[in-house]
Amino acid sequence: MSRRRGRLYGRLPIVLGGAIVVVLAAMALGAGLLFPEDPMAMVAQPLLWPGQDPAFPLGTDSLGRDIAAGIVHGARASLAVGILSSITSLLLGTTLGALAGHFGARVDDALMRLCELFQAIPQFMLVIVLLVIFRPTLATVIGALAVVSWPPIARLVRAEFIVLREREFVQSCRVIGMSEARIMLTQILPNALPVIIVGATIMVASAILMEAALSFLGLGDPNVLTWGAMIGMGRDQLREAWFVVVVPGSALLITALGLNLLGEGLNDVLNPRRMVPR
Amino acid sequence: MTAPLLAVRDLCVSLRGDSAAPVVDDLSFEVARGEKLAIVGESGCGKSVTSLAIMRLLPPGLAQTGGAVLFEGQDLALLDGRSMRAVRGGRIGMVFQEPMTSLNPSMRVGEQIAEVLRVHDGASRAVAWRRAVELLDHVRIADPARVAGDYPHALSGGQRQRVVIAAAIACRPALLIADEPTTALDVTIQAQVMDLLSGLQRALGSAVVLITHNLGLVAQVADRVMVMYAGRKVEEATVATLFTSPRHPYTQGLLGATPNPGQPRGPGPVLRAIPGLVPSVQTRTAGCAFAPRCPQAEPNCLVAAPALTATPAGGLVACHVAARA
Amino acid sequence: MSPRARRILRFLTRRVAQAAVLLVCIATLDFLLLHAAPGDAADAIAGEAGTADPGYIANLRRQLGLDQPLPIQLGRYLWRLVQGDFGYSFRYGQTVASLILDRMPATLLLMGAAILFAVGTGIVLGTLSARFANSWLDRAVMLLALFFYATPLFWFGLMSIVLFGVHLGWLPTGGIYDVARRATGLAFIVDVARHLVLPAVTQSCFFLAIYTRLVRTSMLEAYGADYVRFARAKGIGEVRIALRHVLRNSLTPLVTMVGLNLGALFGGAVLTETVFSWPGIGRLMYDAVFQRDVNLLLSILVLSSVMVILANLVVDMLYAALTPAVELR
Repeated sequence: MSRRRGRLYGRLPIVLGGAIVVVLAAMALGAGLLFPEDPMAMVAQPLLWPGQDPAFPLGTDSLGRDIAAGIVHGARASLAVGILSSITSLLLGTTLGALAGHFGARVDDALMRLCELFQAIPQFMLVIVLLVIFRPTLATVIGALAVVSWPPIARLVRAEFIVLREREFVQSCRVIGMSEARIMLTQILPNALPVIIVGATIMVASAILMEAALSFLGLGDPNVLTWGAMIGMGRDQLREAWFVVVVPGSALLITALGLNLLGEGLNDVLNPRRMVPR
Repeated sequence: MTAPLLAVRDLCVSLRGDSAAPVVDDLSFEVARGEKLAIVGESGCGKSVTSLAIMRLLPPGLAQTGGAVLFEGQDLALLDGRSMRAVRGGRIGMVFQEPMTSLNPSMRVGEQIAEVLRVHDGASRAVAWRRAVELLDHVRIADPARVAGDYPHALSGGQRQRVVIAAAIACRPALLIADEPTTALDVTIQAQVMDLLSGLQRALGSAVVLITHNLGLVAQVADRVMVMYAGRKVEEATVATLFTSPRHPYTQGLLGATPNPGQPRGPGPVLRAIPGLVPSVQTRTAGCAFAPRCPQAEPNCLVAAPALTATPAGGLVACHVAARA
Repeated sequence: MSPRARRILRFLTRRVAQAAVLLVCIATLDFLLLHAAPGDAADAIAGEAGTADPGYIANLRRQLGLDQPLPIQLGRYLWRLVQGDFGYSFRYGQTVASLILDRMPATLLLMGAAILFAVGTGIVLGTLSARFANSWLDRAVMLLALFFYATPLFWFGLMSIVLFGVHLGWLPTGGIYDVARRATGLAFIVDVARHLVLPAVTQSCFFLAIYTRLVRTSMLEAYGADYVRFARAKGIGEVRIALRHVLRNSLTPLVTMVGLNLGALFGGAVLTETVFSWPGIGRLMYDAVFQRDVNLLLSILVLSSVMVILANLVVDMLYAALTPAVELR
């Protein structure tokens, strides 16, 4: 009996996390169908409470915009930014980390110094500076987030490659004359994937939260409505109409929770003994 | 007849939640004051688990499911946490197999001995430290005052094991349990450490339970020997008797598998191996656990587990065949 | 000098040298970003076009040698920075350096409080969690940690203002001290402390989650170690085992993690200070964003990095104190 309960507990993170991510993806993809109008259009009386008007289940903000529409469209924006910046970061970080871990010595030293450089500069401040210089659009936001997010992935991949390059299956590939590039791509990388996948889910969560912080401060793409922007705009109504802030904030929280749960669940499945580096 | 120092009665230890798979099965033995008992057997026979059960230090996956451990007349299972802690280190000292990992890497060696004295004797820091240096001297570590201030990584394996021994005997325990104390050490160091243990035991008058798979050590140090197989005791005898006339086929096999330079080389292999492997906990049957590998097995052996019977020399043996002889 | 002390000195000297190189790299990056900004560097340094004295800008152009090749410009720029010359802000009417240094103490106070709270609480919760692993307490703590990790910092701040400041009225809703009260001495310290609570807790919650999990994992590993079993066999009590044996060996990964987090912690200051109207450099940066004051932004970036690097050196010293000397490289 206890064994069965244990298995259910064990599966809970991945099931719950996966469910949340699926719902999120569905919202993002179906935004156009569910709420065909522009979410930034003023459609009703401002500051309607959730449930007050059945046409607007989550209420309206100070400019009369439908919060539910904002949530659904915001899902699309958040997910887009999160995924795209993470992919860029992943490619950059994995490449650099693999090269450093595999070849060691000077390459490794150089990478470690580079990581230190990027981790000594307060990441969020660097993002802000980049966005001020290069003007905030969806593309620059994605780029700026990618620029600061690659060091942790690089370190992770580097550690994996360092361990794996000494393994016997790698030595035997060398003996049969396989090129280093091929070894890295076809032999070592697949073995490092489980760790990378888990790192990636967490990275997406961080990217989404960072993008939200940027939009909250007014540094997001002005033409795209994101959850962070909604919170920023609702800040002045905090005392009376706090739902304007709570609803998008909860969406952010649930999204981040879901991604983290998924990451943990994947980690338990893919890397039974490994601690998730945070 | 004086009461034994340690009396283990029908001890059963199993995997938690699965009492049908006993790791130690109905084990009973006694150790008198000042006596040296060796527990011998292959890996997996339950000898280490027995020692951990005595100390109530079983890992989370195992639990004592039956029997009692009586030390100085007291059932250790009935003691509360604080009393048991007083026994551990104070009345019973334990030395483990791995000197490399037995010591805390971030604590000075002297401190790891001194803390035993502070906890049990209530000694002050200064007194405990002085005593620790003395103990390092007793275990024959050169320059004990300097070494006491070192961290474990600065010491060799042999030195670390001496530190472990020093901590184990710090409070002059009545019983010292040594679980494979020299297995992880170089052969030359092994002899030195065993020598040290013998000397200390003589000086303190402690009883010793030596757990080992090395019969050579048994001959060197012990008074009595207990042979375990698959969680059960299969033979018990004085050292002399065991080596000259072993009764149980397993014991005979062990002795035959031990190299003996003095033996004349006859036909056949010099070292006789015992075919087969120790059965895992889950696959043990109702009959004698050794029967599948035993050269003298009879059909009855696979069906009925043999009880311990007395031998003419005053020992015990659990074997249908040996009991008849 | 003992070999251990020599090793520690060698380790720290290496770290200081690395820190110096790092600073030069950051300043160079700063220089490059300055030139990536629209307009020429002098415009950027002088701040928003139009507010600066034309004579000042001309002087600046000469100083920077904008007609010279890039490496010379870089050299001159670095030289200016080393002298502490970050430019002058016409908007604020003081040198940028003094502007930033005026606000730095408030941010350092906030950061310090946040780190202490995160580390302290992380150790306590992580230890409890590890000691009572798999109990309801453990699960509750892990759930709490997950919640803190996933919650957006600025939203948490806003919510806590609404709850504790507005509805419950227990704590102030913003600022560093109550301007109207004009408190002095002990009363002033208490006033600042009250204002510090919400921002520091908000800033720390993400890291608190990380440290709780880290301490829990390291302690669980340590609890399974042979030396813990030996300590128990010696009769050492559980409290001493938890503190002196297990925790002590779990601190090193924690210290390393804190070092890695310092940059993120400082970055978070921008958000926290904006939400809580805390008069530090984060708030200054927020204002600079909307004034498009590239020079101020970059100067804050450089000086914050300096702070992070200095803090990292402190962490390195802690690390050296905790690690057995043979493992220091």
